[in-house]
Formats: sequence, structure tokens, C-alpha cells
Amino acid sequence: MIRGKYFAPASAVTISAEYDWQNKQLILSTGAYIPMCVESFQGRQIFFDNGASLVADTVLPREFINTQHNKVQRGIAAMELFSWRNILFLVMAFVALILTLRIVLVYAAPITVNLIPLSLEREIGELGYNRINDMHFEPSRIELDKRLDIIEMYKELHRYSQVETRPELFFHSSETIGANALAFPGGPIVVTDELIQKLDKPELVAAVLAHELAHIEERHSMQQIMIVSGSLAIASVIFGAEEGISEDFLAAIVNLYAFQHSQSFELASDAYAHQLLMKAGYSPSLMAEALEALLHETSDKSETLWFSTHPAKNERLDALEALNLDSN
Amino acid sequence: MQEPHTQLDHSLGKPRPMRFSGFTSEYFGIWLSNLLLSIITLGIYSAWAKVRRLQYFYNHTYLDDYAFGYHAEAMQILKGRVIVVGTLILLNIAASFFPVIYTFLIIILFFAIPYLINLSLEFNAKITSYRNLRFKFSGDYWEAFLTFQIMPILTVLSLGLLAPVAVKKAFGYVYNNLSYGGKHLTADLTYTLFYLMFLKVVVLPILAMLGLVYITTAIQLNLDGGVELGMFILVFAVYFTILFIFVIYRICCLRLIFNALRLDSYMRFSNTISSPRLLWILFSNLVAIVFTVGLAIPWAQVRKSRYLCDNIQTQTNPDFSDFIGTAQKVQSSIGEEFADFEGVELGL
Repeated sequence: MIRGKYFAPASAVTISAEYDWQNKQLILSTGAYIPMCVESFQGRQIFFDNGASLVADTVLPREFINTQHNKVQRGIAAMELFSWRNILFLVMAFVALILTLRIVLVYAAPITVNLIPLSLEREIGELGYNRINDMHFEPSRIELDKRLDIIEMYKELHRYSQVETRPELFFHSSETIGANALAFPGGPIVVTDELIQKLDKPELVAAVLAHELAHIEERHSMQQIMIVSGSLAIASVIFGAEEGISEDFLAAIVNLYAFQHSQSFELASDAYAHQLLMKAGYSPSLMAEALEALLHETSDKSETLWFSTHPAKNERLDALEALNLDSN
Repeated sequence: MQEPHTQLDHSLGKPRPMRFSGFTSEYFGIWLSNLLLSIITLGIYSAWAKVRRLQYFYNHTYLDDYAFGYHAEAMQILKGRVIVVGTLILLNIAASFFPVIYTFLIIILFFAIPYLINLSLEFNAKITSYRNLRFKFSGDYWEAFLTFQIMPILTVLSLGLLAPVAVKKAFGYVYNNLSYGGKHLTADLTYTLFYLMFLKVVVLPILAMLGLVYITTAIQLNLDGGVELGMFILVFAVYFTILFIFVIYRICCLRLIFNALRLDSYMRFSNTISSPRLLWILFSNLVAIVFTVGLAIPWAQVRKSRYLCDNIQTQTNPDFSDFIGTAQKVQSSIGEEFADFEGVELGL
């Protein structure tokens, strides 16, 4: 028997009543009996199929709820019930699920990236290049001879790489970007005048180009896009229920995570460049030399690393040194 | 700003606060189960999760000894979502590959949005019950078109001067077209109130911020070192101030509405919401959520609901015999799901 307040169909007026759910009968305080079938219930409210409802004075009895639920609903209800054991289990399952998803995402990214046609990737790269070109690039002021030297070495390196069509190589001067080299998805590769000036030997520029070729061969940009969009999808499922969290904020968290991943891409490209230089007959230590020259001004504070797409200088140099020892 | 309780109606009973009876411990299990099942089912369960979550909050929100009911069907929500996601994917494909068709679709969407907003408001009203009766929303297409499509454009063209008019119109549209048991809800909002609030909460703080930015930039330019870091901090500061103003503005709107809202001559709302207190709750909620990787979300939601319910009061006429409901038809949830996806918040 469930005691409560009865509402007749389409009425907001209350009458005290009891519901005998086993016999599907409503007993009004006036003594009248009305047969009634439950359509649904929520909280302390029972809704009947004729549009009437009953608000119970206390929480609905468990036996009543069990008769209304099917097996799946009972399972979910048991899962939702608060107990420390339940919560511990749910939290552990949640953490395990997130870790699994994270691993799946990282391993699935290179596979799913293979499904994207190279032509589309190149189109994205070109679009990105055009946009940055308008905003940040100026024509190069490096002498033609020097540029031709670098192009020759680049062609040589490309021959030993697995990249099918050779990505275009552009020279630009850029005050905003400074000494840097960029690989757009599927190409082109851009080297700044500032980088060439900083690395006095053309061989060192070639080492940097080998590193950029690795990004293109392994399709790191596309993998990064996959990982960011996958993480964003997971994050929006987790945080989606809370309106207080803005999309900007979610994107910031996901980017932080993606930065970490990008650091592993950098290390992988360093290692690849080391191999490629060897194959093309250069000294494999060129990569470390180039890094040393480029990064010698940067500090090695680990606290800023969380916000960086590139690993710390020392970490990169140590990894290269280990490779050098191996190859010797 | 109006002081609380200035709207007392002496023909009605004593003001009583609403009440939120949910507990974090209780909701935590529901929230976590929703999350796990949504992830495992690749998002399909999220429709059921939405029903479960909203039912919990509606069922624990009490107005005068009775809680609200939430009656959306998960299957309905799922269908709505599938249609909305499908449309968005098609739009994206059109945007990348068929620019002409895309332009055409965007024009259609521009005219369809008021219709979808009405659909969403009707849906939300229809699935909300109180004392066995459902709410009802009766919108008008052209009024919605003016309110949600034309007013925002005019606001931009007037450099923000018309913003209070647009906001007042939007709130008026949402609340004045609602009815319960055959009686109309009304929100007596005036342009003066919205303009005063806009001046106090938006214009003055923005002017102050611009002044500060000007002074700091001037100082920065006179110093040699640390310019980049200074600019970085400045951009962050401006971003947060704008976010801050936005949140305060929303809180103030909420206060205005819950002082002006009434249900015919039967119910009158008032509130004692304190802007600094609510701001603190929202901010500390966010910090807690971030530091617990989301695990504090149930606590944060319950805490916010409890504060709001504790500080919204109603005076009611104990006689509910005049309220009469009508039979309910099942309705599509496409509008509602569209509003959800596009982040349209109608503040119902």
C-alpha cells in the first residue's frame, strides 16, 4: 500500500488516497475504490495510464519499484545505488575506461590516418600554408647559391625517405616565427631565413629537413588532428552535462593533453632524422648539433614543459645520444 | 537592481522558499552510471542518461510541498539527436564541397531556427509537470523570428546599444508565452530595469577594463623587458573579465526574472539570490571540477541547485481548483536537441 495525495486526470486538486499496487486499486479517503494501472513513476510520483497521478508521502517501496522495472532497469538501478563499494567499483571502471580509450586513441590514430587519402591531406597542408603565408611569411633574402645547396641535400634526403611525392620546399623570412622549420600536412616544408642564418653549415639545415620529412612521412599532423578530435569527443561526453564548463575550457584541457602527445612525435622525428641522415651518408650527429645550435638560448625549465608542443632540449639531446651510441 | 521581496503580494500567502531535496551521494551514483554507460554504448545511452539526470533534478525540486515531473522519452531524444547530428554532418559536407548548396541551406536554416526554437520551448513545457498538470508554451513564428534572428543583428548594428532590448524581448518571449493549467505566466519586465542593469554590470566594468588596459599598455611600452609576458597576462586578464561580466550579467537577469514572474493571480515569485554568493558557488564549482578531473560535477550541480532553490521564494494561493489541464500529445524533440547542440540556452 502506498499512501499519498491523489490527482484526478487533468486536475491539480489533491485528495488523500492509498494505492494498492498489488491489486492495482486506488482507495480514496472517501472510501471509493478505483481500478488503476501504473504507466510510469519517477521520484515519489506515480503516473497512471488514465492521466491521474499519486504523489507518495514517503519514498516509493523497493518491492513496488522492482515489479515495475525490467531486468536491465533493475541492473542500472542497482548500479546507481549509493554504497562505498559501488562507488569504488564505478570510479575504478571509469578510470580504466578512460585509460583504455586513451591507449586505443593513440594506437588507432596511425591506422585511421591511413584511411584518409593523401590528396586530402595535401589539400589541408596547402590551405594551412596559404593562410600562414599571408600573415607571417616574407620572401627569402638568402643567396640563391646557398638555397640551391640546401635544395640539393633535401632532394638527396628525400630519395632515402619513404615519402612518395617530394613535398615542396619553400624559403621564407619571418620575423614572427623566427628561426624555425615547419612541415604542413602532406607538405610543403618551410625553412625560415632566420634558421639558415643561425645554422651556419647547410648540412645542419639538412638535418632539420630530415626531421620535418619524418613528420610528413608518419603523417603526424593528421594523427594529431585525430587525437585532438577523439579526445574532444570523449571530454564532451564526460563534461557535457555541466553547463558551467565552456567549450573553450574543454578545448584548453584537450590541447594540454595533445601537447604531451606532440612531444612524443618530436622525439620520434628526431630518431627518424638520425636514421635518414645515416642512410644518405651524412654524419648522424648532425641532428644533435643542429638542435644544440637552435636551442642553446632556450632554458630548460621543466615547469613550462606542460604547455609546450616540444620536449625539453636535454631530453631530445639525451635521446639522440643514446641513438648515436647504439649505431656506433 | 530590485531589492528582494519588493514584489510581495499581500493577497497571497507568506513567501516560502523552493526546496531542493537531492543529495550529492545519491546523485553521484546516477551521474557515474550515466557516464560509464554513455561511453560504453558510444553515446547512445546519453539520451537515457539525459532523462535520468533531469528526472532526478526535477523530482527533487519542490515548490510548495510538490516536486516537478520530467516526462521526455529517451527514444524521442535519441531520434531527435540522430536527425540533428545527421543535419550538421550534411551541412559540414556541403560547406566543404558544395558552397552554393551550403549558402542555400544556411538561408533555409536562418528561417527555420525560430521554428526550431518554438518547437524546443513547446517540448520543454510539455514534458514538465507540476501537480499532475503539464506546462504549455504557445509561441508565434514571426515573434520568435524578430526576437531571435532580427534583434541580435540590430544589437550588433547598434554597437550593443540595443542589447538590453534584445535580452528583455528574449526573456519576455520565453516566459510570457508559458501557461500552466490554463493560466498564463507573466514576467513584468521593463526596459528601464534592463538598461540600468546593462549600464551597471556591463558598460561600466568594460569601460574600467579598457582604462586599465590602456594604462598597463602605456607602462609596458616604457619598460624594456617582459613586454611579451605582460601582453600575455593582459590578454588573459581581458578574457577572464569578459567571462566574469558575462556570468554576472546572467545572474542579474535571473534575479530580475524571479522578481517579476507570476502565474496569473495565483503565484508570485521573488528571490534573495546574492550575485557575489552565486558567483562564488559557480567559480568554486569550476575549480573543484577541474581539480577532480570531473568527479566533483555531481557535487557542483547539487550545490548550485540547492542554492538557487533556497533563494527563490513563492507566494501561492492554496486553491488549485481553478487549474485545469488538457490531454497531451507526444511531440518531436528535434527542436530541443537542436537547441542543445547549438548551445542555445533559453533559460527555461
